[in-house]
Amino acid sequence: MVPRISSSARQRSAGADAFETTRWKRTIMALTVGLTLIQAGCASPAKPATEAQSEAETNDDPFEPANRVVFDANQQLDRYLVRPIAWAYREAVPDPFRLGISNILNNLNSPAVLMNDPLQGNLRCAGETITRIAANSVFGIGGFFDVGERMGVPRHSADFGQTLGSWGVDRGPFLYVPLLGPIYTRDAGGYIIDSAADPFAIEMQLAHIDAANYARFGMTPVDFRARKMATLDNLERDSFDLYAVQRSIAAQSRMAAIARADTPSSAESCSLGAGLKSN
Amino acid sequence: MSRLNLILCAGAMAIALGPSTMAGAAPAEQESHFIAGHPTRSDFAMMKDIGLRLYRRDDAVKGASEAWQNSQSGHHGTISVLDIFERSGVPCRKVRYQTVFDVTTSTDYVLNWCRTTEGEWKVS
Repeated sequence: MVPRISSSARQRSAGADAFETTRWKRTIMALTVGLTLIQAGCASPAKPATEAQSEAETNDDPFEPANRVVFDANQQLDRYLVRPIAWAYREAVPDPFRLGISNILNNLNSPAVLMNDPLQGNLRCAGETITRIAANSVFGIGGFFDVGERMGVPRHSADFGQTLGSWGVDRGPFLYVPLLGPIYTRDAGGYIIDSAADPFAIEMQLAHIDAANYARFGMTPVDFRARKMATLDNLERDSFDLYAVQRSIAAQSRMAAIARADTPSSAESCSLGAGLKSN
Repeated sequence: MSRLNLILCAGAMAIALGPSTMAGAAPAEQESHFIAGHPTRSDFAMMKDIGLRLYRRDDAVKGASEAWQNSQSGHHGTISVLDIFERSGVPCRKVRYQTVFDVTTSTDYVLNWCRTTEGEWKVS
């Protein structure tokens, strides 16, 4: 699509209103679907009849049969599409440039971190995020260079699923979502909120620069898969049941992330608040 | 709950997530459900060597641990055998991996390793 900017402020305002209305409707619909699912009994499965089901309940995985179908499909998608592209990307693009791309994607996600830092009660971390956004966007050429880290303000992560967890919301059932992978229901809701509130995606849609969003959407899984190449290859090779291992890792990672959100900011970096920092 | 209901529930959630995913946003939720940090292939090779000495053997000792340091990647960590048990008649070990990637990134995971009937040790 050819980039096109509304010719007048009035048109832009009207477009923005219409867009925001649509976006909020979509968000509300998504939340409604989620709440309906929970109320309909998705989060309260019937009493298990077999040992396998009992184990699934221990893992908060009442949807395991459906999840495994999605997992198998994702594995095929990874094997024949995502991994080969990520492998070619690693081979063709020099390390410093790939790091720059990762930095840009991280910088674009920073507003979500900024939204969640204060919601988790971490005002000093919010200050660090503002510093990073300003430094990386201006001096880091749109985030290509992580100037913030060189200033002694390293990246930390925060998301709305983590925020909900820090507020005491239960993680809910485990899900394996197409394209997205392993995620808990609470964090899936957080994903929707973070996505709906993403300022870059909103601005690009308002300006009808859809290519920017498509580029980001396409680049994110390639960058992620390229960075996790060794980890995922080793896990796949060494796992008896990769699905169960990913579920266990997801549970441990999220517990650590929420423990970090619960830990008040120390005098040191926000990233040192707890044992684990996603990057 | 029937299998159909389970599939419908999962499908409805996927439909709810779809538009958000397609919006082009890349929130941290996705990444933070995977192993954090970026262990290299040489890190994994070192950890595997320790695994062969520490827990991928019949005479593994509960409480044993070994530290590693990879000068190539700059990463270091400790691997500890937390427990030794049997599951469905095969020997298993509960192993803790504490890894430090840099001054701001560290991870702490516990994984169960079991020996398959073919004699291979696998995470399970």
